[in-house]
Amino acid sequence: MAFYRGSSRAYNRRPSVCQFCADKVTELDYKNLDVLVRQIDPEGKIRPRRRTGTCARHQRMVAIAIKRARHMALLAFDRGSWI
Amino acid sequence: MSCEQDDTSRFPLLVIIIQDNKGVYTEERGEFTLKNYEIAVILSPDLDDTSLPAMQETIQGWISSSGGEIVLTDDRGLRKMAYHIKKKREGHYISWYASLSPSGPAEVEQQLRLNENILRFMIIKSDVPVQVEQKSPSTDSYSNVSESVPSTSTLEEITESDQVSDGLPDQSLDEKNEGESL
Repeated sequence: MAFYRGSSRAYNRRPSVCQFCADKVTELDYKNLDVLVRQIDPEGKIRPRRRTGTCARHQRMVAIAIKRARHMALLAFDRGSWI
Repeated sequence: MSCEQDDTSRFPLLVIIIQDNKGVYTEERGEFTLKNYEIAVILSPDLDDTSLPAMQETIQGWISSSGGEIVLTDDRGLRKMAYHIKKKREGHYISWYASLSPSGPAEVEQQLRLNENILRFMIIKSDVPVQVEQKSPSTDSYSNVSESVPSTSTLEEITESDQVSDGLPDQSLDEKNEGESL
């Protein structure tokens, strides 16, 4: 009688190539909201690497840029009326 | 002893250079070279048309008085904030790209902290963007994709410089072809 969740929680397969590496991004500005909005989920959280497929180096840049944007009230900390 | 003298002649002790990622400290001169910073500020929306430029000038005065050189000012204008700060819903977003000595940011920060018209500020190490036009091609690929998302509003000023440059490779190819045919 074990509670069986089944395989309904299947993840989408992550992209095989980092999107930032493909575009050869070397710097990421916190004001560049077009890029950053794609890296947060509706809750306002930073999307994990296993969903977005970004490499470790670019994920660090994304995290720093999002935190800076939150500090300057360009992004919300939670599910808010962001933008 | 003779060995040490030889060493000092080869490497003079007075000049010790510590290479940082951007600044260089020379003990002979006793001063740091300048590093590049971005000083971003959200100003209160209650400022008038007269007091807003005055406020900007005072901040520029603080930067220059602490030994800084302002390279670029980036004025994004009045903008709605993602959350309320000091019961304000909007703010003037202005950022200065300046080169300061290592003691400069602390002095500027002291001044920024005391003023009530400054809702929020941030001083970060960052290089000066060479041109806004040159940065746009890298972001264009994202902005084109994200056009379907209605919630994205662009802060970046996207210019049409790359449209002009699109014509150049074709011309060069034509010239090459002409040269080969001749």
